[in-house]
Parts: sequence; C-alpha cells; structure tokens
Amino acid sequence: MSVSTTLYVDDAAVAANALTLTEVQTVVPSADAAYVYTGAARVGLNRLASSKRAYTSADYTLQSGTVTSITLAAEDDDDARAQAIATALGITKARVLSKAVCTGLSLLTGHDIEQGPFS
Amino acid sequence: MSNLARLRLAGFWTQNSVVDPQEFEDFDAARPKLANFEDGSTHAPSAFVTVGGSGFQLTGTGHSLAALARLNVESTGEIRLKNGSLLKADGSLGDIRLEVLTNVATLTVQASAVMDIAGAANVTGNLDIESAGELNLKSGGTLAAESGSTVTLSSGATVTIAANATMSGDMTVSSGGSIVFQSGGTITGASGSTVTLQGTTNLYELKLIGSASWVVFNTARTWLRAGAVVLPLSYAGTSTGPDDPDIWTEVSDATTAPCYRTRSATSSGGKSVVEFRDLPIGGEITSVTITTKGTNLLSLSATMPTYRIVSWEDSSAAGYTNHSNLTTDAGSAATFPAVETETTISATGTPIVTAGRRYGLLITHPFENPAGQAMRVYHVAMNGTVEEHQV
Repeated sequence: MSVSTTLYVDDAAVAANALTLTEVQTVVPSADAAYVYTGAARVGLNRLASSKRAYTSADYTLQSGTVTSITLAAEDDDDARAQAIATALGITKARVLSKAVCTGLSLLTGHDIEQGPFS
Repeated sequence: MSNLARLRLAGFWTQNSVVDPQEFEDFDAARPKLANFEDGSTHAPSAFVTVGGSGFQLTGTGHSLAALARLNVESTGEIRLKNGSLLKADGSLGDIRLEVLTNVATLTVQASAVMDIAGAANVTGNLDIESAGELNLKSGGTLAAESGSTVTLSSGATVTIAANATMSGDMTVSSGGSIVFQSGGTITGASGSTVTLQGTTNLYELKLIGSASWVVFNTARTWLRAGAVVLPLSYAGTSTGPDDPDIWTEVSDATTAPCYRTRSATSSGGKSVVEFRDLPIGGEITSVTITTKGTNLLSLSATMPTYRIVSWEDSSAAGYTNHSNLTTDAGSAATFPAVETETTISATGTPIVTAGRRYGLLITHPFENPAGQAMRVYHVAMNGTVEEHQV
C-alpha cells in the first residue's frame, strides 16, 4: 500500500532519477521513474529520520531552483515516518518528502549532500 | 506486527550510492530480532511468528515444549500423525500410545496406564472386551440401556447376578429356554403380585404359606356331587325305630343299578335325607337335582314329595339350616307313577360349604289314601361352584 503526495523536486533530482533508474532496472526490470522516486524517498528518510542528526525546521528551509511537480507514491511506513517528522518540526509532510526524495537521489548517485526541499 | 521491512526497496543498493550510517544502525538493530539457528537464541515475539508454505521440519530428538508452555491448535487446525508415527504419553509403568501402525490408527493404553472419561464417549463401532479383559461397573456407576437398544447374550455366555435385580418390563423365555431354580433357590411373589402360567406347569411340591392361603380359580369351577348316603328319618311313619325304615335301597325297576325307594304310604310322616359328601369346602351350593318316579300305577292323586336343601352339624345343639325353599316334585300326581321326572331345587342365600357341617336333601315322602304311594329315587346330585379350593 502506498500514500500519494504531490511535491516538488529540482532538476538535479530529475536527472539523478534517470541515472538511478538505469541501475535499478538491472535488479527490477519493471521499475520506472515513479518507482525510483518511491525508493529514493525511503533512502532519504533513512537519513532524515536518524536520531543521530538533530534536524530542526531550519533544515527544511525551502531551496531555490527550477522545480518539477511530481506525485510521490510513498510506502505506508515511509509516509508515516515523514508525517512523524513533519509533526515534530511543525512543517508539512510534502516538505519533508521533497527533501527526502532529493536527498535520497543525491545519495544514490554517490553524493553525500542533502538536497531540498523545494516548492 | 509485520515482517522486518527492507531498508531500501529492491534495486536501490546501487553501485555508487552512499550508505548512511543510520542504515547500518537500523540493520544492526534488527539483528537481535533474527533467530540464531546455530548457537540458539531466545525471543518473546509480541505477536505470532507465522510460517506458511512448506513450514518447519524438525529432526533429531531434542525438541522440547518447555515447562508450563502450551501448544494451541486453533480452530480448523490439525496435528496429523502419518503412518508409522507416534504420539506417546510416557508413563513409568505403562504408556498411552496414539500411533499409526501399518496405516491403521491405533490408541493403546498399556497396562497400568489409565484412560479417564469424565465426559461422554460415543461408540459407533464395536467395543470389544477381549479375553481376560473386564468391564467393571464401580460403586455409584450406572449401565443404562436406553429405549431401542439391545443387549444380547449369546449361547455359551454366562450371566451371574448376585445382586438384587428389579424388573419393571417383561422377561420372555423363548421356546427352548428355561428358568432353573437350583436347590436352595426360591421365587417370591410379594402380596399383590401375580404369577401367570398359561402353559403346562409341573410342580413337584406346592406349599401355600399361611393359614388363609388357598388355591384360587380365576374363573369359578362347577362341581357336582351325587347323593352318597340315604339317611332314613322315619319308621312306619314315626320318627323313631326300630320298625322298618321308610326308605331303603334296592335294584332299580328300569336297570340293575341301585336306587332308593320309599315305603308305600297312605299318610304323611315319611321322611329321609340324602346326604352329599366330599363337598368342596368354600364352594357355593347352587342347586340339587333329583330324578324320581312313583311306584303305584293305581295312585293318581298322591300327595307329591317335597324337597329342601339343608345342612346341620351337632343335632344336640341345633337343627337344620335351610338352604332352599321347600320345593314340590316337578311331576304331576296323575303321571307320577308312570313318568320319571327331574326336579331342580335351587339354593337360596348363596350357601357356602363350611368345614364340619353336613349337607343333604331333606325329602318328605309321597303318600295317597287309600291306594298308597311310594317313589323311587334314581338319581340325586348337588351342584355348585367353587372359586377357592379350601380344606
């Protein structure tokens, strides 16, 4: 089961999605861009939900850049993790997921750099 | 609870991806939840660990359901013993074994093992008590055969009843069967009970208990006693002897058999009693019949004889007791000397034959003046019924 959320990602994330999709399809041939966004959200949330990093709402300040609107189909447990973070920091779930997707794609493409959120 | 989730979706451990330390942390945090099938491990799942598919297969003999542990088989679940398998209650002296021997499911309760049934055991097959086996009904136990059930004891079987048996239904002894009372045995019918034997009853000794118990006929029997003795009560018309009696026995004028005959009399005074003996004590007298005929054909207007059923006991204390009305001979004076006539004297007052009393027919003899008349008595008999044979 999944929960759909509309959010924004930047061009870098879109490009990283394309790069990642090629690798993912070696394991999951049926994978598509939406599947990559879903998986990237989990990878990003693995970091954002870390107890070792004391994230604040300031870490979710909107970033500037060219953005694209996507509809993310987050896994139930990932959606729950995003909602928990959003509730704790007093921000929207879409903002948390935007940062999770962008950061996840960054990590998946070999960059240990957090990205987003975007709107 | 659900299964352990993937840290990343399938395909996301990409070649160049950066692995966050938190992911290792999460991976490591899940390890204690995994079973250590090499060194053993202990877990307390907060929910069932459900295993489907081909399930577990246990080998070896060391598996244990620990003390106080329980294995619940849920609704529609099964534990199935395959051919050659065994479920054993391990007793110190004998076991209870549930096993499948050569594809035959078998429950064996060995010697010294016990199977207690506090609920119901429904047997739709055979329950065989083998040789040396016993079916013991302990004190307080009941063996009830409900309506429609059958208890069959085959030929050769032995039934010993040392206890009291109460029967409210019928017990039928079929042809060829018998009830045998051996020496010392008794059959007792309590007051108010009835024993009905419709067929032949062979009794070598019948003992009636008590002083008022008699043989009772279900339907009253009729009895008949012929007059046994004639007692002359007059001699030439007077009541004392020693003159010739007014009645005697002689050869019948019709046959060679005896009959009674009265003296030819021209006046009254002739009388006699024909006594009946061996009457059934307790019987009821219903009538006396007497067959007579006059002797003097020239006598056509005789005073006819009369009859009365009487009884008496000690003639010094009391006289007759009458048991009928005075009855005149049924014949007519005109034909009395020529025609044998049977007269019936009906008893009155339902007289019962009492031990110690004598019973008879009191006769006043016929007479006619001046021709004189006598009579012959060819047959006289007392009739009655009896319901109870007394002595």
